[in-house]
Amino acid sequence: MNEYRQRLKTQNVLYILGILALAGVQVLAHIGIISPASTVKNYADFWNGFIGGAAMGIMILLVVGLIINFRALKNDERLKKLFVKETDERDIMISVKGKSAGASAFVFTLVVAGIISGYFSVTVFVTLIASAFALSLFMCGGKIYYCKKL
Amino acid sequence: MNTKIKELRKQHKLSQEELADAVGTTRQTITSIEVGKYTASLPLAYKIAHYFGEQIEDVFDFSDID
Repeated sequence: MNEYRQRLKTQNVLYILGILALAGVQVLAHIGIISPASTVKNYADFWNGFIGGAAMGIMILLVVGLIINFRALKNDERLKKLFVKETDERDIMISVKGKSAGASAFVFTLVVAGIISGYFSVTVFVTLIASAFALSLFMCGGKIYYCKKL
Repeated sequence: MNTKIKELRKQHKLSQEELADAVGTTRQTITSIEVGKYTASLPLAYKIAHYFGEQIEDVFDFSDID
């Protein structure tokens, strides 16, 4: 359990660094230091709003994770429950199978959507097919890695 | 896979939650193993059998594999 406790402490440091980095991004986007180079009207506002919203969303997740970790580190019972929840073999299997099935379905959907979009726009078709190809490549990479690792 | 976990739990007057706590897993996992929806890994099967003072093959039914 000490190893897990140490892992949570390391995770907390990373969370804090992440929160600070995201806060920095928000400030820089707000004062306009990082801004998209586009001539389209109102695009910079839209993009800065998107970056600000995304950064805020991730920050909230990190803060929630930080609170959960801090509470677990202060209470042995909570720490054990969190450990069991994170290491439960059935939960891990559900997560792995869910992600694998989801990724396969996503590739299939991208290809179907790409083919349909090809009747309307070459740009959308290429983007979707390229995304499907890239995702398939990552999935194959993962398989090769785990074939050698396990 | 069929198991005798439910019977052993009743004999030892244990709830699923208590057994899960004792072997370091969740109540949902114990439920799934009991109803045969999930097959426990070897380490978890060992922990469960060991907790009841039994051999793995006395708790888990491997006849399907034979």
